[in-house]
Order: sequence, then C-alpha cells, then structure tokens
Amino acid sequence: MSTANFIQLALSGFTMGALYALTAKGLFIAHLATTRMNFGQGEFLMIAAYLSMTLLLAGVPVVLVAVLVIGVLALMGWGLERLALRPLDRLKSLVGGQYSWVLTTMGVALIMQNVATLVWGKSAQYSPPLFSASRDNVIKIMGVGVFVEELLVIAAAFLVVGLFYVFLFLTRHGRAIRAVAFNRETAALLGIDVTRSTVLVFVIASVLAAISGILVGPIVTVQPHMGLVFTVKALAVASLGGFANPLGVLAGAIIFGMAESFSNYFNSAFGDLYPLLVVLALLVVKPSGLFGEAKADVR
Amino acid sequence: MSAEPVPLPYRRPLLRSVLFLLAAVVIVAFPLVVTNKFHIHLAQTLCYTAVAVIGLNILLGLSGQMSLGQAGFYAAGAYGSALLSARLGWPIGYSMLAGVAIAGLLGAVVGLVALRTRGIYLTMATLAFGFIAEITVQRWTDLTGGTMGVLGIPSLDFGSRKMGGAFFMWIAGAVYLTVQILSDYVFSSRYYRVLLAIKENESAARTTGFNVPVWRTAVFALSAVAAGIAGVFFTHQSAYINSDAFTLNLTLSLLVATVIGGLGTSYGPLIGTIITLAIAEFIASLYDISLLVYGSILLVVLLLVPEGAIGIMRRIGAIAGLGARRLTTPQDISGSSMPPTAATAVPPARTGGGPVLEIKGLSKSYSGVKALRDISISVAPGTVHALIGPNGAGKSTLINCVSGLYSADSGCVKLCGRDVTVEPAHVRARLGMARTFQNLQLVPSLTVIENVMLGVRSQRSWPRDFIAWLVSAQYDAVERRRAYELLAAFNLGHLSEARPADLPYGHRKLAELARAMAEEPVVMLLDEPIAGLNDAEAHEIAEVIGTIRNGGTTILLVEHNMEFVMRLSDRVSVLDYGENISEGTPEEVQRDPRVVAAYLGTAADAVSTPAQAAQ
Amino acid sequence: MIRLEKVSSGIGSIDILHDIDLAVAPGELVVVLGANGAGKTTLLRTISGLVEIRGGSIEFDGKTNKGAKAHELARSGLVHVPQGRQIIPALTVEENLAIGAEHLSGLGRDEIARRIDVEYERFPVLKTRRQILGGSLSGGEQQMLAVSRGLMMAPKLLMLDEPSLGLAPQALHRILAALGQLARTGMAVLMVEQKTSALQIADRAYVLKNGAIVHHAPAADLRDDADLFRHYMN
Repeated sequence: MSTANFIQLALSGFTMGALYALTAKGLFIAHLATTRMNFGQGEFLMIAAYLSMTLLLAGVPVVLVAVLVIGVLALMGWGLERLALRPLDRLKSLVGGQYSWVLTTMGVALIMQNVATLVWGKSAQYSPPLFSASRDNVIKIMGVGVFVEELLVIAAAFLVVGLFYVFLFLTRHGRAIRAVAFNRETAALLGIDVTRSTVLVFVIASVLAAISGILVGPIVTVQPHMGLVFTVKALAVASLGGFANPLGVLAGAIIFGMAESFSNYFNSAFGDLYPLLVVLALLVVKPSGLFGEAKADVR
Repeated sequence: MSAEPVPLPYRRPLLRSVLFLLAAVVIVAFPLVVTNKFHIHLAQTLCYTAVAVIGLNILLGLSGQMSLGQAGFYAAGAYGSALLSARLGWPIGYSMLAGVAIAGLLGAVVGLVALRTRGIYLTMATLAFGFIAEITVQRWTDLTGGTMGVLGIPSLDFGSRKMGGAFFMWIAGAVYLTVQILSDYVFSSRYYRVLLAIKENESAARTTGFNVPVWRTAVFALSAVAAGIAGVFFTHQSAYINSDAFTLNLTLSLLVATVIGGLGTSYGPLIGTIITLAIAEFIASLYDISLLVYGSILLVVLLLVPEGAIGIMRRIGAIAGLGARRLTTPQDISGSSMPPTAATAVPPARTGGGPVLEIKGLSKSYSGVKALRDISISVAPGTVHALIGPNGAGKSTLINCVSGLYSADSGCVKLCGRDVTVEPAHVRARLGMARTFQNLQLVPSLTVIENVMLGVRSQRSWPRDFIAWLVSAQYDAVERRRAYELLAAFNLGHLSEARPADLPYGHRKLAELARAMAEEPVVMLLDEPIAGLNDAEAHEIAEVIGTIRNGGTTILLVEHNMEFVMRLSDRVSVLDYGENISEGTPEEVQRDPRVVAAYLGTAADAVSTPAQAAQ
Repeated sequence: MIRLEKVSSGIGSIDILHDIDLAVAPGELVVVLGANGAGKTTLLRTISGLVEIRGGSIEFDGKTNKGAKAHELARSGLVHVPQGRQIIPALTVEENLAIGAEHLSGLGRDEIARRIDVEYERFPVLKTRRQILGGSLSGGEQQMLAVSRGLMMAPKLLMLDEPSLGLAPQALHRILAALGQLARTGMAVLMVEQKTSALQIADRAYVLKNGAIVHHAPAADLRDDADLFRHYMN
C-alpha cells in the first residue's frame, strides 16, 4: 500500500477510534459510579445521529443542532436511570441476579430501535457533513489527500475527551463521582447526594453518546441497526481499559479503531471482526484488560 | 437418634412419573389428533425452543451468569447440521449430533472467559460473540449463503410427507421431555444447591470445596449445547435457513421467554416459551412494532413481575392456601442403608500425629498496609486454638489466607503435614479444612437444611443419583439425614425448611456451623462464632464447639470475648498490628501485660499534659 | 447538641442496638467504649443516617431526626469520620480535603481554601504531602487527613469511629490532642473506641456491650485499666 493509503487509513481509523472512545467513556463513567451501564448506548448514539441528520437537512445551524440533540439525549439518559434502573434497587429480588439492568437497558434499546424505524424508515441514509460544505472536501497534507471532515471530527472528539477529563478530575462534581465510585456510604457522609450523582453519570453517558452520534453521522451511513455495532465495540474498548482506567479506554479505542481500519483494508468482508476477536482473546489471557490493574484479593 | 423421622419436602415421584408419561402421550397423540399443519409446526417449535430456554434458565437463574450470545450457539448448531447434511450429504442423525457438538465446543471456548473473569466481562464477551456470529453468518456467503440462505436441507421426516410432521414432533418432543426431566433432576439435586451457592455466595462455595470457575464454565457450555440442540431442530424443520434468524433479537426473545415464565424455576421455561410463542404469533401481523413490543415486555416483566408467570401462580396459590405442600411431612427414612451417625463429626484418623495446621512465616499486605507480618502458629490435633487481638490486628486476614481465599505474599500453610500454600480454597476444603465467616455466608435462596447439605460430601455418581431421584422420594436420604441430625443436635431441626432470612441471627450462626461440620473436616476455622449473639446463645455455641473438639476435630477460632476464649481454648495466640505478640494458655495470655496493653492502649498513648499535646 | 432517647436500630432482620440513651453537649468530648461486636460502629451509623432507626428518637441541634438522609445530615453539621478512615485513594491530600467542604451549600472557593489552610496548620504533615495521592499515606497520616476532612465541613458534632485503629502512639497523640483542642473551642465530639487512651481527654464515657449501654460515668472514674478490661471483655 502506498504512503498516502497508509495515512488515510490511519486517519480514518483514528477518527473511528476517537468516536469509539467517546462512546466507551459513557459506559466507563456509568460503570465507575454504579457498576451498571447502558447496554443501549449504541441505540442512544443512533437516535442522536438521526436527530442530527434530520435537523441538519432541515437547515438548522450546526451549533443549534448540537444543543438540541444533546438536550434530548440528556433527557433520555435521565429517563433511563429513573425508569429502567432505579426501580431495580427497590425490587431487591434475587431473581435476575445482578444483571436485570442489562435486560432493562436492552429493552429500552429495542424500543429506541423500533421508534427509529417507524419515524425514519429502515434504509440507510446519509447525514450532511458538519464542518464542510460537502462530504468530499479534501485538503492536502504533505501531499496526501485527507478528508477535512475526519480531521475536524477528530479535533472535536478530542476536545470533548479533554472536557471529560477536566470534568472528572478537576471539578467538584467529577470528584463527587469518583468519591461515589470509591464508596457510596463514605460519599454520603461527605455530604454528597449519591442519588443525584447516579443520575448525573447516566446523563453524562447519554450526552457522550449524543456527541458521538452527531459526529459519526456524516462519516458512516445512518440506519436503525447501527446501534448494536457501536455498543459491542464500545464495550470491547471499555474492557480493554479494564473499566477502570480512562486513559486506557482512550488508548485502547485508538488502537482498536486503527486496527479495524487496516483490517478492513485487507479483508473487507470480515475486517471489522478481527479486532473484536483479538479483544475477546485478550480477555481470556489478561482478564482485567490491557490497562486495568489486576484486581487484588477482594477485601 | 437413629429412628427420628426426618422431614422431607413434598415429593411424589410416582405422580411425577405419571405426569411425564402423560406428557409423552400428549406428544405422541398431538400430531395424530390435530390436523392443522400450522399448529403442529407451532408445537414442534415449542418443543425445541423450550430446550434452549431450559439451558438459559439454568445458566442465568441458577448459576447467575448472563449470556447475550445464545443466538450464536443456536446458529452453530443450525448451520453445522445444515451444511453437513445439505452440502456433504451426511445422514441427518449424524449431522444433528455434529451440530450440537459444534455448539458445545464453541460454548466451551467462549466459556473460557467465564473461567478467568467476573460476570460483566462474560456478558460483554457473549454480546461480542453473538455479534460476531451474526455478522459471520451474514457475510460468509460462500459457507452460509448469507441472506440467501442454505437450500435443500433435508427435513426430519424420514421421507414421509404425510407423517413427516408427526415424526419431527415426536423426536423433538422426546428430546424436550428428556431435557425437561434432566432439568427437574438438576433442580432437585445437589447441583441446584451448588449452583445457587456459586451464584449467591461465591466465597462459601469455594471454601465448601467447589471449583467455582470450572462449574461456571461447565454450565455455560451446557447452555450452549441446549441452544445448539434448538438450532439443529430449527434447521431441519423448514428445509431452509438464512442469516436473518440468528440475530440479537433471537437471543433477546430467548431471554424474554426465560424471564417471563419464571427465572430459576424448572417449569418456567416451558410456560415462558408458550407465552413468548403466543406473543410472537400475535404480533406477527404487527411486524413493524415487534421490537417495541419485545422491549416493552422486557421492561414490564423485569420491573413489575420479575418472578414471572410461575411466581404469580405461586403467589395466587399461597393466597388460596395451597402453600402448605411446601412444608414438612415427616417421613421416616430409617430405611436408608447408612447406619445412624453421631451428631458430631468424627473424622478418620488422618492427622498423622503432628500438628494439624501449621502456619509458618505468613505475611500479607494489600493497599500498602502490611496486614500480616511473619505469623507462625502451630495447632495441635484435637485442640481449640484461639486467635485474639484488637480490631484491625489481622485476624480475619489470617483466616482468609489459611482457608485460601487470599493468597499470602510469603510463608507457608501446612495441613496435616501437607503443604497447601498454593492450593486454591476448594482444594483445601476437600482436604479437610472447613470454615465459617464473620459476616455469615449462608445461601439466601436455599433452605436451612439445603445449606447444610451443601457441606455433605456426596458418595454417589450422578447416573445412580438420577435413577434414585426418578424412582424414590428418598433419593437424598443419606445426605438429608446427615444434615438433619446436625441441625437437630442444635435444636434447629424444626427450622430445616425455613430460609436463612427467617431465622434469628443466633440460629443462622448455628446453621453455618452445621454446614461446616457436615464436611467432616479435620480442622475448622471459625471466624467470630459468637459475634452478635447474646449470652445464652454464646453459651450454646461454646458447648457445641467443645463437643466438636471432644469428637476429635481441631479448631482454630477468632474471637474477642475473653470469657468465651478462656473457657474453651486450649491455647491462645494474640495478634496486634499483624504480629504475633503472645502465645500460651488462656491464663498466661490474659495476664500478659503486652496483651492488656494491646487491647486497652498503653500509658504511653495517653496525653496527660498540655505540653505533650503541643508536640 | 445531640441526644438519643431509647434508640434501637438494626440491619435487615438483625436488631443491633437496644434502647440507647446518650447525649453529647457542645464543648464535651464523650467516648463510647466497647469490645468488637458491641455495636459501636452501628451506633455512629445510626446517628449519621446510614442505618435506619427502629425505635426511639434522635435530636440533633434542636431538631428531631425524622428519616433524614445521610448527606443531608452531613451538610447540616453532623460529621461522621468512618472506621478505617475511608480516604479516597485516587484523590490527592488536598482534593480529599476539598471534597469535605465542596458539597456544603454556599461555600465559595476562597472559604474552602481558607479552611484548608487551617487544617494545614493543625497537621503540618498534611501540607508537606498535599499533592500526594491519598492511597499512599501512612495510617497515621490518613487518620489526620480523615479528621481534617471532617473538620472541613465545620461540624457541630464530630463523630469518629475508632480513630486509634492501626495508629502508632505518636500519631495517636497528635490526633487526640487536636480533638481535645476542638472540644475546648465548643465543638461536640463523640468517639467510639476500643482502646482507653481516649479517656485521657474525655469528659464522660459510656460502655457499650451487646448493643446496650451498660455503664456511664465521668471519664476520670473509668481510668482504672484492669477493671475496664474485665468489664467489657465479659
């Protein structure tokens, strides 16, 4: 393959990786604070992509689109926690064991998928580009043609990842979430409203899904079944980071995205499956993920 | 002691066998009586789908593992058999068996993840596996035909067009019935107890002698086999399959069937499958909102009726006063061939003369704290050796290291001269080490007697056990009698069918002690056996421990109550800050000023003057 | 400041505390002694709202506690420093301190910074380790940090669960001295302890056994070691 090819593949892999990272961070932060996640994260992303596409096609300016879509998804995240997760605490029955939340969030995902099919139809559609006039806007860097859209998506994604870190590590609410992740009771003793923090992490997770959905629309085709793909990959990437290490999630996502890009080049039929298989094999070999700390004896 | 009647739960093996026979009759008669081919088709589907759901029910309901990839194993069975029979011309019988084998093999491989990791990773791995299977089946068109599918799959009809449907039904029905009977057996046997222990209380399962990761993987592989069985029947039902069938939606509908019928009950899968198939037929015309319906059902069932249909029926039954059958009907099981055993364990002489338990140079630190520093303790056979020390001294850590739940950083542990330092907890348990827990580790979903039976070592291979279950109401007489005698010795016999949550705290501690004794251990590790008990209850436990000791069992216990320790122990070791600061007889230790200082603090700890305070 | 009247509580189907009568006035330093399993931790958790009250009543700062949530009580000045310190290992010393005050309403950056400085003066070692992660501190440093974190919340009642646990005598000195100092400034301080070192700075002491108060006396009367050892070991 030529250098130009290589750079283009690496770039698009990097782009997808950045988006996987965003999606996975939503899973990560929810799991950090509550040991539960939205198994319909991909479907949330899909709804965001559709909403964004519809609004953009209607001529709404990009900034307003972002605000609206993020707002809607934040509301959905709140709803998810309130209606599909919190009631499970009340039940306390041992029936589904600790995994009822997997099924309730998947139930919501199914509903979302159906809603999307009813509203937008089943066929794949194209979302207009966010940052440039047309999808094929190309600039030349070092003599290689790269899509402007991809560059800007990477920039936007990294910006959001950066904001995420700032939030988690430098603000009081982020600290509160980390305190809740450590021990819910101790956090309460420090005056932290644990319930509110729980709602917050699911809202944040949904916002991250929203941003990913907005950014991904122009790059891939939008269709009602795209959700599962993203959920699976985001989960894979999050487990690479051992669900514990945000930097690990980012690094794992970029590596995963690039591996996928090259894998697809060599084998277009099954290329996107190989990185997944590798992640699965890794899980058997290093159970706590590539970057997670091996959990020592549980105290 | 010998002729005392042991209460048995309600059992009617004769009735059950009659019902099974009746079911067989129905299966045989159905396709002969019913002429509507579509109804026969539905009945066939019911039979093989129920098999998959039974597997999923045991996986999720009993062993507590969530799989989102059953469609993948279903597909493995389906395509395996389809391709072998359609493309390679294998006879159906062989191709079906091969299909099931492929599914099982895949299940073992994916189950390796279960071997190494915790629940959420398994769930995620199964989702990824199901996804990979779905995509592979869709895109590997050379092999599977993708959405065009595989044509020319032989039907399971033995060449007869007229009776083909009936033949299929009979075979599918026979397989279902077999699997259902096996499931009933699992629910009535020690497998039920072990799996629930693994699901609800892993530490207890491990220290009672069960290799938890292996059990989990085995159950996972079996659930994959069940899905594979459903797949091979599916494939030969309509002579044609394509990749549209093997999506996540298939997995989710199997999960719906599992939950809606009643997770964790033996007949939940049958009822759940009937309900799910009915729903599928009902919304077949409403295809456009099928996902909406399934999603809503998942939510409604899990949030409002998590016990499923069987749970509802039980509740109605209880209100209508039919719950009485759960309670005891004392039956004399003196017919068992084992001679009545004494209530307290008499372990065979395997101590070999030396110390039963030897701990040498044990050290353990975590989170930067050195919890144990170079501990050495030797426990002589037939003695009660107490471990005391102030809070945080490392006593529980020591017990956890000795029993194998933690691995020590250095040092060694020897059981009757055999080095067990690297052995996992379940091996140590099998070698004769039993323990109780400070925070009580009983399995909440099992009855008290079932909890104790968890500790009883079963002598019988499962085929013989299965046949015994089939024909006799007293198939578990030996284990049950043993457990009951232990409980009766504690005056808990009348509570044997209650759940731990219904028992007062003191009784629960006794029940846990009974379970440990059921293992007939060489040494018992008791972690704060009288914590939280009042004086009378503590007295009772002290008596019991004394009797156990007199029976020849060695005991290492952790306690705070000095009076208890004084009365009961032959030797005492004192821990403070992870170090062994004193050892000797109770009298010696209690008078040791270092011990008093450790508990109460020394004069040096005191702040007496403002000048000192200002340092 | 706080008064418990005939308080009973428990977890699940276990009853742990029975008919507890206890009070701490502003400026008093009260110790509750007891062996392990006596219910000391449950007592504090009941007061701070982590364990539900099943009987009796608790009055704090003039108001009766009716099912208030733990974080609300914490914000209103009822501060519980839990057993084992519970320092958040992933946060630095300074962040651990800050988090103590960040969730009180109406507290600005400057006020938080001011309070942090007060704590640095109280325990200078915290200042020297200010950017170190909480998980890397020694036991004594963690305890000082835990006390300071609690003080960041400007408590009216400060409760500590076995602060002496795992502490070397020197560290224990500093902490007890600081606590005595705080009581003298008018704070109500309640400590549960197994060791009697705290008696040296206490005004009154209760002895807890099997979930009930079995003895209550001025601290001075309880300083006879041998008696006490027998008392709550039996």
